[in-house]
Amino acid sequence: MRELSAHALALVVAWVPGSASACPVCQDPSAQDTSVFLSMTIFMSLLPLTLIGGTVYYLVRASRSAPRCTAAKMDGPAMADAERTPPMSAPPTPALQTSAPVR
Amino acid sequence: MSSVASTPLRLRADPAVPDAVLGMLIFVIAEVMFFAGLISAHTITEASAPMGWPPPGQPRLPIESTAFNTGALVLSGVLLLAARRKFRDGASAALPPALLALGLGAFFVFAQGVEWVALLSEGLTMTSSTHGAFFYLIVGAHGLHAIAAIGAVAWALLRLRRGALAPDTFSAIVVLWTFVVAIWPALYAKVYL
Repeated sequence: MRELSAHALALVVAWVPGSASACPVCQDPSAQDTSVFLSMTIFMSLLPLTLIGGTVYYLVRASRSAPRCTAAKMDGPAMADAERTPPMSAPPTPALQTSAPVR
Repeated sequence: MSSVASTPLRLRADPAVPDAVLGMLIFVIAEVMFFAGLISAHTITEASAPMGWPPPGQPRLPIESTAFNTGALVLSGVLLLAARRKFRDGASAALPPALLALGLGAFFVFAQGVEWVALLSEGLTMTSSTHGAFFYLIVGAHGLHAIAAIGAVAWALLRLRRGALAPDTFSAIVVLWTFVVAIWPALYAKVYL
């Protein structure tokens, strides 16, 4: 019952948004000020999305048009030694079992 | 006995966008948001000014002379872009337009400074009105960015003369100067007009 009345109260509050508004800036009585504030809010909200989206689009397009590197291109004496991985060493040979030294 | 298998090589792909350019782009995005916040605050204050904008009794801003300075700044941006293109042909081809761009950028900052001195003597200060406060804040912030970018361009030109300027570094500095140039007409239209 208590939950039901809480939900009912929430519905009532949602139907009367004017009473629920608490922002003194949004509720400026001047219609022109409110429209300017709203337009600047939309501007400031869309601008970062546009900037980041545009940058991502530019990066994706650049990566698609960039030449892919191949093993043949990277191989050769020009490669710095530091970029080589250590050569694979042969598996250690098991120590030979020797009999007692011959005297 | 050493392994006869070929040594595996670690492949390293060149980035699609140079790291310097990407880093500068991220910085420019942050600065664009900074100026957008200033423009937004200026717009809201202008709209809600009780006695109209600009407030009465304030000195008139030098619209015509700043328009001339704006043209010089835009020309410097075009010249630096041209210098970057010519850089592919060699450092000596890029030096003249880059020097011109630096000179025009320095002229812009100097001319804006002269205008500031005149406005201060006429009574427009940061505390005289919100109009004055916004003017010096927005134009001053752009001026600081312009001075820093001029320093970066001058550094690049010194390295260009020695033949020690990397193409990626030059591109990153061109991105910074292009931002300084491109944002100014928007600020000019907002603050002066």
